[in-house]
Amino acid sequence: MRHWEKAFMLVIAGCLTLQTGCSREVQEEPVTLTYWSDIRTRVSAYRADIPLYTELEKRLGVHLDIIDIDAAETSQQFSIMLSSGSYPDIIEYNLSGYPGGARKAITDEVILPLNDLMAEHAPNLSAQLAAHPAWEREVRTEDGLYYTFPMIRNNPKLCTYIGPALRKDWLEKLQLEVPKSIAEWENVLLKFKEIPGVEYPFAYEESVMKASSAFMSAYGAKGVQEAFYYEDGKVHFSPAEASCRQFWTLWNRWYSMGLLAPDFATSSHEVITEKISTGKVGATICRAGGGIGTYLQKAKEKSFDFVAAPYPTLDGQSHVKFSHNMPECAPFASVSTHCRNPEKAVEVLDYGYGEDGILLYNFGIENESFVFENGKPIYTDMVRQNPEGKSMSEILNLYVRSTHSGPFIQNIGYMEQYMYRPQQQEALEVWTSNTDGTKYKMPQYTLTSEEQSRYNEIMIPVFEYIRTQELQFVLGKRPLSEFQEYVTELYSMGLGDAVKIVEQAVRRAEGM
Amino acid sequence: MQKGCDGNKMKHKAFLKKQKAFTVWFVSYAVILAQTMLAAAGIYWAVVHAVEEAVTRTNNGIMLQLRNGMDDYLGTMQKLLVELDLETDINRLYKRPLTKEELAIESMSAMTKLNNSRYVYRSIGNFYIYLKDYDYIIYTNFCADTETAYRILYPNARWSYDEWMEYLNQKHQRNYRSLILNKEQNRATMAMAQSLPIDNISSPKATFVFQADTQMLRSYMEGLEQSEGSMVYYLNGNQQPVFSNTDIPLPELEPSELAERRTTVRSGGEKYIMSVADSALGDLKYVSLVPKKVYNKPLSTLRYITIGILILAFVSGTLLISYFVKRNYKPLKELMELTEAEGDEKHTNEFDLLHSSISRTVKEKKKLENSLEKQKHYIKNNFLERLLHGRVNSDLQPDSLFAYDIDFQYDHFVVVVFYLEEFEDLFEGSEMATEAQMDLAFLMIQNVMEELSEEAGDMEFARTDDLLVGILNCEEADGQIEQMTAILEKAYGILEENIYIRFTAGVSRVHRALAGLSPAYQEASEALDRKFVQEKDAIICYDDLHYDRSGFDYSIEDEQLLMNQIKLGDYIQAKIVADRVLDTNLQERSLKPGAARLLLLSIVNTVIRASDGQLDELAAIDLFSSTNDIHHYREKLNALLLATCKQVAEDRQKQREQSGANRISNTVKEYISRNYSDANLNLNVLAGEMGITSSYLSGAFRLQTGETLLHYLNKIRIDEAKQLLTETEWNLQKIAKRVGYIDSHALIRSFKKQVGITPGKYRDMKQVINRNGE
Repeated sequence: MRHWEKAFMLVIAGCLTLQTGCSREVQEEPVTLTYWSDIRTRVSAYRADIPLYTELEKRLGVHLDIIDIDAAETSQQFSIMLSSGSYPDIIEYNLSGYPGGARKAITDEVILPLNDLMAEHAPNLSAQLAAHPAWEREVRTEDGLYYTFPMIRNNPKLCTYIGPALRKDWLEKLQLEVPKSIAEWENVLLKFKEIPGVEYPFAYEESVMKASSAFMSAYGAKGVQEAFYYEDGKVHFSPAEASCRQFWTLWNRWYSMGLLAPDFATSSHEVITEKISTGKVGATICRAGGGIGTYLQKAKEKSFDFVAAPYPTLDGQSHVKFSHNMPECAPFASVSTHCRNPEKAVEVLDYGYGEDGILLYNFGIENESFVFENGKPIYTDMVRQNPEGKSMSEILNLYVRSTHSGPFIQNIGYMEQYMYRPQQQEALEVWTSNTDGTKYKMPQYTLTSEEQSRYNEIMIPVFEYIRTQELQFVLGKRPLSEFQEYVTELYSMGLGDAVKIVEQAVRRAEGM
Repeated sequence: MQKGCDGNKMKHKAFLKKQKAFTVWFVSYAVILAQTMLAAAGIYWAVVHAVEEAVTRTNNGIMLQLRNGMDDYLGTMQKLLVELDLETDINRLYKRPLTKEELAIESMSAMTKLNNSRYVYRSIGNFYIYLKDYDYIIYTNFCADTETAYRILYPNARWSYDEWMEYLNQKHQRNYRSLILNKEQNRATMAMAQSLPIDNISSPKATFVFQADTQMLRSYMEGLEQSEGSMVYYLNGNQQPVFSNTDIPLPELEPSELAERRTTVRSGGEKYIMSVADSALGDLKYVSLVPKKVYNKPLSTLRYITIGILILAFVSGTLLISYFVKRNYKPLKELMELTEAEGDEKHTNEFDLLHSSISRTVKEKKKLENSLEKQKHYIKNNFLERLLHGRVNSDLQPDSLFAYDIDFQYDHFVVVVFYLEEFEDLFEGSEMATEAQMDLAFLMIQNVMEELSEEAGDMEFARTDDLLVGILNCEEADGQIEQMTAILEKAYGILEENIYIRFTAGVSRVHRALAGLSPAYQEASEALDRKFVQEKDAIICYDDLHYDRSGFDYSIEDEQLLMNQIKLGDYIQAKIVADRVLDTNLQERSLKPGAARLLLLSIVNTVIRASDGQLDELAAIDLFSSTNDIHHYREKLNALLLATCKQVAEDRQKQREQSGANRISNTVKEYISRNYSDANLNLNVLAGEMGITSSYLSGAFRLQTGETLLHYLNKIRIDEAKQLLTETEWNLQKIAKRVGYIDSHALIRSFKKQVGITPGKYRDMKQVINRNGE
């Protein structure tokens, strides 16, 4: 009896250990990683699950707990996140606004240096970096600490895809040419205003303006987000310059004339889409894909047609100083120090640089959003001609990341198929016709942590202030005659110091 | 044949009776089985009840949990709402009228604030503010006119733009409603609306709309996984469901049912277990309903098992009952087969039957025991009788007497013989037979004797003929006779005084050993016999009988015989007797002269007594005093006899002649001679036969014949009996019947009275005489 009992016990014990052991190996509980990103907010806000992410989770054996960040409020949200003291595992943020930059973020133990994990857990990116040494500068600090998984657009056509566009059919009806100059634009808009059903001829949402500086750049002004520019070896802050006043004057004028919708600060992509496709608005600044493409798809009017216009200049001839220009390689996502499974986080982020990841992020799920034709991934009809009438960008937003930035290499195949309409292809051409976004681009620089904190201390309120004042000025609440006062206000807020800091940093960077 | 039929009938009756106990037992067992089955059913019911209770408890717990979670959630939302209302960037939108520009400006900061709030109250859900005056929606993602906002927010929702506008324009104080976000997918959530400003909703300027995050709502229902099949509904103030975990619509419930918090409700033919938890915020009611079908599911297995077990128990129980009842009944059946029911007895069941049978058996046993006792008594009596008559082997050891229940401890015996003289007075008016009376009388004598003789020794008693014989077993011989006499006298006194019984007792001498019992008995009998010549009602001791060896032999029998003959006037017979006595004494014995004289005197005495005072006594005696010669005596005696008989006969004849009515007596005598053997023959019968009164007949007969009719009848009978005794070997009973006595006892009495000895003795004597060749 005794022996029998002993044996029985052993068997039971054995089974139990086997089970736990096995379960640990075979049935790995999916690791949950919190994912700080605006990606979901760009999609229809009411979609609970996005197939792209479901697939990603499945492939990588993770569960991504997405923390939705509004694209417009990224910086503020980042600050709030920092102040909460609890950092999500993966943060999609380029850390430009972090005091001291990425290096400080590492020192402050916000994000992890990835050097130790790169070789083993980020083979794809490592390989890419090896193939493109120019990208190294973007993905690591000056002292060689890797900290980010970048968004890579290694094709010029992938870099400029935002610009002005307007109703082609209306132009044709009105027998007008595509406007090139501000004056032409004004004329067109005036004419548009008379079209029945039009609320405001021109409306846009903030982010496209920030991204493209269209119209602003006619005056040499630059969008708030990238307000600093480098010209003649000098750092400029556009919103404090006369060019900004000129722009605002135009804007105010157009608003008073009823040509410009006043809610550009509170509009969203969906709102603009709605307005354009219903003919309440006739002209906007938009993306070639999500903008023009969507408008064309959603529009009810048979005659609806949209055409891209070149970045307007004052004379209609020259090149504009500033336009939409996406960097080839830009920091995108990092892993926070609070991540309990950094290996897995790195693997997740690394995915977009490998063949499967590139395919997924650009084309989606095989046999759902794309199929292989002659070895090339081609979007399915569900994407291109969605039976439920959804726009391509809507569907693509669900299956790919290439519609926005992400930790992956964007493939031109996406753009070629996405912007398949002639209007879209044309837009890409038009918008690169008179722009040279790289010309006045700010050189790469990093601020020290003190500099960064001082910079943030100054600039965050400054930017906010600029934003509110823009509205005030444009809507006529504040007379533009007070522009100088406004500038003074800016300087009193410490703008000068901020500029100095930037200059210093640039000098430093140049000196290197 | 008859018996067989009866047997069958009995069997049938027995069978019916069998059914009774069988049925009773069967029913008893069945009741036990039924009880067990009831218990099982009861347990099942209890289990069902327990399950219901458990489900209710679980549900209540889940609902409480859910309530707490939801209240937390809604509380957060409320907090957000209040914060927003307090936030100037927000409430500026509706506190005062705004220009278009102001609206654009304010909405920018408001939107920022909303976004911050959404970050802080992460995943709470979506919310926006409707600005009534501007037909504007402030939302976290954008601000736009309601039309545009509607198309973006609710492309697939179930409410139309107008419906939505109507909703927005109503006054709301934390009103909840359900909201179908997607018609096709039937995705629904819960919306809450609050008119702003909160402190003045009577004239609302804006409406805050909150759309709960479906994920969040579902997460609070996680606990329901434990309660499969339960349907949970959040009800608003109007008892309308605003959210649910199921597509099944809320069953119709009375508001009272919700209010009363009944745990089981019925609706539409279905039974549910209901749990209700009210939101502490007062906003919602959380209701859980578990359909009976669902919570009964685990029970269905139990139900099948229970039913199965019940059926099995029933079947096997019945089989077992049958087997056990049969088995347990078997011994009873066997007992029944042993018993015999009396034909007309009524029994309610087998036990009754057995009971009566057993009690009958017991009674019979008792009877048997009694008769056995009696038999023992008779056997004992018989033995003693034989012992007394000397018919028992004298080698008999005292130990073997134990078999007869006789224990003679001592060596000496005295035998006493009792003859009942008078006993009828005691039984005056009683209907008891003479024999029974005699038995009882003797029993009384026996009892008294036993008591009185305790000190003297042990007394055994036996009955023989019409005598009671007492055997005293005593240690010593001395003084026993005197003691016995004293006892007897005492007994006599007691008996006579108290119960009017008189007896004559003959007492033997003391004898030794069992062998001495027979002679003792002879002595006692002899002593008793003496009563005929001496006094009756006396205690006569053998000792006293002065039987001297040198004396003469003049027995009582002879004396009585002589007397009778004289009374009859029969000189010839008288002379024979006298001669015999004299011859016996004078020839065979050598008598002393004095003895001879005494003998003669005794004989003369007898004659005198027999003559009934007719004789001159003095002359008779004188006759013998004057002569000395024995031969002369004889002649004188004969002459005396003759004279006396003649006289007697003459007297009788004279009487007969004087009466002159011999006819009656002759007729009677003739009738008697023909019918003497009829035991019923008596005075009345005769009188009836002759047509005269019995008194006249009796008187006439006596006058004519000089004797009573009864006496004459008896005489005839006795004469006949004598004949039969001598000539036949018939027993006394037979003879008695033949001669007209009821039984032998009557015969013996009458015979002895008349003849002087018992018929038995007479017969013996006759035999002896015959043997001796006379």
